Formats: sequence, C-alpha cells, structure tokens
Amino acid sequence: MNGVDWFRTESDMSYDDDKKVIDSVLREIAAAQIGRLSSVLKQYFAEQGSDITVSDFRGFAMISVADEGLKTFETDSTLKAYSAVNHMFADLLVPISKDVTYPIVFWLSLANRPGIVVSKLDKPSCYVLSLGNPYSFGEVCASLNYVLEQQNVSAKPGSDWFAKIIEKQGLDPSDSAFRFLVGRT
Amino acid sequence: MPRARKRATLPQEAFADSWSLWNALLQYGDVEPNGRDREFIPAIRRSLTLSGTQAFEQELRDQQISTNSLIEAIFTVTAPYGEMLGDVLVMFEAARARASQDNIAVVFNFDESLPALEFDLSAFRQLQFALRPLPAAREEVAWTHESIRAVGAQLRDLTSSPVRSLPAGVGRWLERYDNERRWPAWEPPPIVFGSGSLETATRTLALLWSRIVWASRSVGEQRSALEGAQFAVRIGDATDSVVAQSFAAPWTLKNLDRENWAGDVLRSLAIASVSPQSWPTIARWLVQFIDALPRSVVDAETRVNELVETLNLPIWQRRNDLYAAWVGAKIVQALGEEGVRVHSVGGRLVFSGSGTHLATVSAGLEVFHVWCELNSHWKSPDKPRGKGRTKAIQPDYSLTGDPVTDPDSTFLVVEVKHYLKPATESFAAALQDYADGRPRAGVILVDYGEAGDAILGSVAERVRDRCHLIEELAPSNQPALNRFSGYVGDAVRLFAPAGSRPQPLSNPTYGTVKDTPSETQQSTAHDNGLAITLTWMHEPADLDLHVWVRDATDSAYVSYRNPKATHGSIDVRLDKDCKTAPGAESVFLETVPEYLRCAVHNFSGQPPLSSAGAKVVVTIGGWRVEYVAPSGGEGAWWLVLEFWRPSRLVTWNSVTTDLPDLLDPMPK
Repeated sequence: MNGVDWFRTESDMSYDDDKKVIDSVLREIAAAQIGRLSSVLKQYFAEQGSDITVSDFRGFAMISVADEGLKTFETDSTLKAYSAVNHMFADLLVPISKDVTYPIVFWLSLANRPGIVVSKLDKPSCYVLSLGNPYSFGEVCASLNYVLEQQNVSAKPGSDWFAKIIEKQGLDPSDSAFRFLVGRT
Repeated sequence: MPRARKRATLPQEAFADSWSLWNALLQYGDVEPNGRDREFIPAIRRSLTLSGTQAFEQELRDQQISTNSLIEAIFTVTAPYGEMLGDVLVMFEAARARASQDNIAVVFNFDESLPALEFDLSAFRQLQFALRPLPAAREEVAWTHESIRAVGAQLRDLTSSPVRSLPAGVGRWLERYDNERRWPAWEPPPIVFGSGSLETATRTLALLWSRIVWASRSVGEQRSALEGAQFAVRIGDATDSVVAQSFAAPWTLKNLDRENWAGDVLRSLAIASVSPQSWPTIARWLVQFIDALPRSVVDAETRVNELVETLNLPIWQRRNDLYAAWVGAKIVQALGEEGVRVHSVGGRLVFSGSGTHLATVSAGLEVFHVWCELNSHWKSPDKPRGKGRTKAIQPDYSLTGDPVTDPDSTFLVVEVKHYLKPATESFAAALQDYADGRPRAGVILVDYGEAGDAILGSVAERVRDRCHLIEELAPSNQPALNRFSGYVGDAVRLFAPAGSRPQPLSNPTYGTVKDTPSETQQSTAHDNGLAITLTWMHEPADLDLHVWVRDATDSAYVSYRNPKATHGSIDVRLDKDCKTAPGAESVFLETVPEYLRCAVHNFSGQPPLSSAGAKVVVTIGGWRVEYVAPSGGEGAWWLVLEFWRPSRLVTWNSVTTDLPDLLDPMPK
C-alpha cells in the first residue's frame, strides 16, 4: 500500500477487520467512473499512481484519499485554510466509527472546486466529501455535521472539548450547523 | 419581479471559438444586433480594438479573437450598467427613507408604448449584483472564512491609530452599518491609494468587500437577517472541477458579520488612506498575504452562463431606460443631500413618460422641483426644429421653480441620449427646441456615446450660449461626470439666492459669497433703497462698476460713462469713477427697482481681475450680500448678480469675456 500511515497506533489495530470492507468500498468507487476520484483510485489499486495516498485505518467515519502530491486529510497542510491540525477530527470521528452506516470518504484534490462538496453515492453506499483548495474549518465541521445528521449519529457524550475548538476558530459552537459534532442533539 | 427567461444550456460547440460563441449568444442571449442592441457590436469592437471594416463574425475569425477575449469585452460593455443601478439605488434609498416603508418599487416607464418595468428593492439589488463588474482575469482569489477573517484582523491591527475624521461617504456608510445595524443601499466612495502595489492589493480587497456586502444585503437589509442563516451543504456528484466560490454563502457571511468584518475593513482602509506613513507596511503585508492565497480558475463555461443570464435580463434589454434613470439619479446627487426630497407615490419611484415629479429641493428661500418628462406647450410662432415636435416639448428632465407649468420657470433642462454615435441633426434640434421652449433655462444634452462639437455649431446662435453637450457620460468617465455636476451646480447657483444653496457647489471659476445681515451697512442704504459698493485693493488699477435697472415703465444704465440716471420712478447714481488701486465705487438707488443687474469691468485689461482682491457688497434694507471676485476665469467682465423684486437674487459671480444674454433682456 502506498502512503504513510504515521498516525497509526496500537489502538487502531482493532479496525483491521474493517479494512477489508473499506477496501471493497474504495474499489467500488474506482469502478463507478464518477470522475477523478475513480481514476485516481483505479491508478492506486493498479499501483500506477506513485504519489496517491489512501488512509484506511481510522475506520468507516474517516477514510481519506489524496490526489497526487497531497497528504491525507488528517495530515493535510496544503488545501486547508486554517492552522489547526485535522487530527482533531480523527479524535472526534474514531469513537463513532462503528456507528456510521455509510462510510465517509475525504477526497482531497487540487482539481476539486474550492470549499467542500458533499456527495452521497448509492453504489457503493457512502458519503464523499470533496475538499478543494482551499477549504475552511467551518465547512469541514458543517459538512461532517450534515453527514452525521443524515445518519442520525452524534459525537460521543463528553465532546465539549470540540466545542471549545470551534469557539477558538472564531465560530459559534451553539450554531445548529455543529450540533451533531458537539453532542448537543 | 421581472426575471430573465429560462435559458437553454449552450451547446459544447459554442465554446470552440469566439465566432461560434458569438452566434450562440445571438441565439441564447436574445441579442438583436440590428434592433435594440445595435450599439452592442460597436461597443464590443471598441473594447477589442477591431476596425469594424468587416462583418463582426468574420472579423472575429480573421483576427483570431479568443473566446475569453470576447467574453471579457462583452463584460466590459455590460459592467457600467451595474454601476448605474448602484446610483439609482441611492436615489431609491432616499425615496424609501422618506416614504418610511420597506417595500417600495422603482418603475421605468419612459416609453409608454412598452410595458412598464417594475422592481422591488431586493430584485433591484439582485439585478445590480448580476450586472456587477467582474475582474478581467480568469483567475480569482479563492477566499475562505479563515482568510477573510485574517485579512480583516490584520488590517485592524495595522490601522489602529486614531484619525481625526474619515471621508464623508465612508462615515455615512459606517453610521448606517454600526448604529442602525443595516446594510446601506449605496457603496461608499472608492478608497484610493497613491502607491501602485497597495492600489492593486486594495482593489482585490475592495472586490471581496463588495461581494460580501452585496451578498449580505441580499439576505436582508437588517444585518440581523443573517442570524437565521443555516449552513447549506453543497451537494455534488464527486465529478471534476466545477468552479464556484462558497465564501459568499449566508452562513459564512453570518460568521463574518458577528465580527463586524465589513465595517472594520472599510474603516481600516479609510484610516489607512489618510495615513500615508502606514502605506509601505500595509502594502508589504497585504501583497504578501494575497499572493499566498490559492487561486481558482473561472472557466469559460461558467462565465458564459453568467453572461447569457445577464443578456436575458429585462433590465439589460431596457438599458436605455436605465441610463435615463441613472442620469436622473446623478442630477439628484449633484443637488446634494440637504433639502432634497425624493418623491415616491404609492410606494413607487416612477420614471414615467407622462411626467413625474421626481424631487423637491429647498434652497434657502427658494424651492425648486426636479421633473421627469415635464411637458410644456410650444409658444413660439415658428415651428420646432425637431421632427415629431409640433405643439409641445418634453425634455427628459427639467429643474424648475414655481409655477412648474410656466416654461419661464425652468432654469435647467437635461436631455438624455443613449447613442453610441451622434445623430447631429436630432441632437442639435433637441438642444435648440428646448432652449427656445424654456427661454430662461440652460440646456444640457448628455449622451452615452460620442457627440462631437459639430452639434453645438449647428444650434441657432441666439440660444447656443445656453446649450451644453456632454458626451460619453458614464460611471467610469469622471471628467464628464464632473462637468455634468458642475453644470447642474451652476444652474442651481444661478437660481437660488447666494449662501442658501443646498450644498457648497465647487467650481474654481467662482468666487465666494457671504450672505449676512449687517447693521453697519444699513446706514449706507436708503430706507427703501439699494446700495452697491465695489472695492479693490491691488492692480488692475481701473475697475468700473456697471449697473442696469428697469422698472415698470423705465430702464436705466449707470457706469463711469453715464454716472446718473433720473427719469420716471428711477433714480440711480454712481458716486465716482475711481481709476487707481486701492479703489472704491458705489451705486445708490432711491427705490428698489423691478430688475437690476450688476457687473464689474476690468478697464485696465491686465493683470486679470482675480488679482485685484475685489469685492462687491450689495445692501438692500438690512440685508447685506458680499461677493468676492472669482479666483479664475478668463475675460474682462465680472458678472456679479441679477435681482428681481421682491426677493429673487440670482448670483452669477463669474468671469466672462462678454456679458451673455442673461435671464432677462438687457434694458435699453
């Protein structure tokens, strides 16, 4: 597998069983011919894309595919418009990884439009967050909130720490755009 | 709200080259190059610097004009109309404020053979946004909430030093934004920096600012309207790059407005503009910041889709009406703010071919009116020169005193033409007929395109002095706009008594006027009489006071040549002829005449009159008016004033080569 999973820890090993499912989801996307994401994954599975990165160890709620030359969502510093690291989203999403019905794919590419576009695919059944240059913290939060809301999944109780991060980013944590992220549903 | 017709999607082959695109625009954009859009092709040609020697499509082929160049050229032609909407919106806002109602409409109905075009306020703003000027480059800075906030915060830090005062337009905008918590309908005046790199960077920032403000205002006039904004997830199909910017989404705007972003950025830029010492620091930081931001490419298809929507807008198809309304807005703007009441009737601000009382202006003791399409009967035994005019004239705008039905009450006529090329005979005929039909009025003909001096030469000599021509009057043509507001200001100055105009009207050829009651001067005037005193301090040595008076049956003229006139009810005399500086001459009248005109002649010829430090003081009863000679202007005559009993005092206060045939015939 290409890419560097340097965030992987012992505790992540519990997700190894899920990796097969994630692998099949990504292969289905590759076959679905839905634009650059499909062709990038096709190259990845054919081991032709020398610089394509896929991260599959955070579970169903945080699958990341990064176009050539880009890092995964968790380690991205090229496309995002804010300084805070995206690892905090892993902290938020990993605990609810088993709760989501539809896997969530973070797709980073310079070819994506600026901001974030959310797509729900039927085959395979999953959500794709297409992140372009640049995307903002608020857009990530609100897009994730939408995807979780659609699946009626809320962050685990005790996620107040994330409300503080939202506030630190100059946003209002009581905004309804974040309610599934701060556990206030 | 009149909306654009639903358009079909342009076929892919339309984007192959500029001539295919042009043909597609003719079809999908509903362009009529031989009809209502006949000035469209010449304007695009001018923007593309094409010669026009061939058919347009052939020229695009032969010159290998790119698709993007054609798109840019068309947007260049459409952009001024967006700016015009902005100016009309200011007048709209004034009428709305006066009407104290939120839902007034503006109605264009100049040509009554066409259905009226009516917009409410929000539709009007949407139209303005659709016609907004777009940046020439295809690449746009891809802003986000974070980068927008960052630029605002840093600007705040860099411009934290207090300044004594902000530019008036900015202060007014901020007052509405900060205190009333509303989005003003108008844009503040552009903030200009002398430094090249700072100018470029602030232009990028100004574009962002405008977009954010317009997008915020489109949510609601009250800033609080943003509070209810929800994050709208953009749903896509995960396909490749379709470019759009999301920074203007209401949810993002809400988060920006919580920090007073728009107000703070405007304030910071205004402070910076008056603190040149801060320019190098701001330029260095801002240029670096903007350069580091990602860019998104706006593809041709996106821009053409916007273009087709614009071309299908009813307002675009009736842009001659918009132009006429804009000129009306510029007239009102030139009158200043104080004392101007823009009228709406039944919640509608109407520009009607059957006549509309657009505004009433209080200028001290005088009141005058701005009328749109004011009709008046043709009195002269000679036929009007213009085709189609027989028994009446109806210029686009009339500035008139009371009674409005009397053609003699009009003191300024403005006729609007939306031609790209001049129609010499028709323009000259309009000027001449309106000058004849409104015998006391100055007449201005403004045209969107070229006009040319030949037109004035073709106007009858008897009225030519009262006629003015302004070509290429458009939002971006500041010299033409200055001339226009100068003419309007001059006309008001002539109509309204000195010192009581609605605002100071700047014109470098005019001197200053003080209008104060003076007990000390009362003794120089006779109880029921009038005194005029000329004083001067320096060379030219010989200045002469000239006064013409007329009563019911008699008229008289006094100067050094004829120092005393006593016949009938008229008794007027000059005290002395002074030929050295410093000097003084006075004219006294036993009774206030029905009509009086006063002028000063520079008998020495050189140096110019402006160097004499000359003053004229007019005392009528206890009222004293003082005129200081203009600091500029060419000619040996200083025309000071005209007066009609009981109280109409018209201030000319201008230097001329000859005394023109003024508002009242010269007494023999």
